[in-house]
Amino acid sequence: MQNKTILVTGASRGLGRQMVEHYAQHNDVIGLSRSGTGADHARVTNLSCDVTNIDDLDVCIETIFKEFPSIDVLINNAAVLKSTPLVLMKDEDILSMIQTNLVAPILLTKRMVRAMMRQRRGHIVNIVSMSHKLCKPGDSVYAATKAGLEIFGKVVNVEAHSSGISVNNLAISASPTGMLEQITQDDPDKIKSLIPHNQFAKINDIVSAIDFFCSPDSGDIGGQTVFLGGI
Amino acid sequence: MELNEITAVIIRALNEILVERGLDTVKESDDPQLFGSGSVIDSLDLVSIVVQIEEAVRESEGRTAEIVDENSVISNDSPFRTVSTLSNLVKEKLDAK
Repeated sequence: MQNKTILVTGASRGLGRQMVEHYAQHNDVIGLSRSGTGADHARVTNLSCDVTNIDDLDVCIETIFKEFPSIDVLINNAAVLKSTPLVLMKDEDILSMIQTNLVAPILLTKRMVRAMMRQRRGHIVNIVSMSHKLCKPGDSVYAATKAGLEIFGKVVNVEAHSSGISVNNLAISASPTGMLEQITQDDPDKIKSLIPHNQFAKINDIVSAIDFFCSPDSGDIGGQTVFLGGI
Repeated sequence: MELNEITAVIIRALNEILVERGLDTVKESDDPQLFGSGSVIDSLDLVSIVVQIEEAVRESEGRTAEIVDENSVISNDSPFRTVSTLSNLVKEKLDAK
């Protein structure tokens, strides 16, 4: 992608930060995160926003549209993972995952689709997961939030398609980020063995899939989920 | 917003859709149908028009306007059926606040 305005959530670290750094080479990128920190680049605007807080979100959206007349692409990337068998999982961790992984992208997508409807164009890419395919013990709530986000994207795609908007899902196999370290703890080979391609997702594969979804030649490609890693 | 301004927003949004579809544009005096069997747009197009009205109200008056509520959706005599009935609905909602 080139010369687009791209909004990335979860931009302060991990995969989100890698995507911001990649896209900032040829695009204007807005990075949202709670901390408001992230890639240091002339074409990156880092904003602090608690997307689960409606008041905070609306202030943030207003700030964005004061500076950027339109948003071409929204990448819903922010997520938290606590991998623990459900019966041992803390209630606050359950609620935190649902808020961050499902409620926040729904609230943000609603606002972005409204703006994109006025533009009569736009792309939304949800970063989902292989977790609901693998059914790995410990991932019940995380997998539920990602499966929910995937279906959410498919339905919104149908609702918004006639306004020139596409919504697609990219299901990444584990990627070498902070989240992966949390899953694997001290045994990265254990999670790698669950992935048919037996390798972690690379940033180039991830942005290639996103570029495909957002290509001007992909007008009829919406509501789809691409799984990396041979899942 | 005045009634004629609301109507202009609806006509503009409707014509954007019609141009995209390669269809003839419409004028206010046609009082085009927006909903029902005689409409050239579908219900999801109508949703995008409603969004554009709400955004226009927000920009013009600095307040939110919820055009669609349970009563308006289930009404047999739908206020969404033509440009003029929708314009009147929006005006009523704005005046009621």
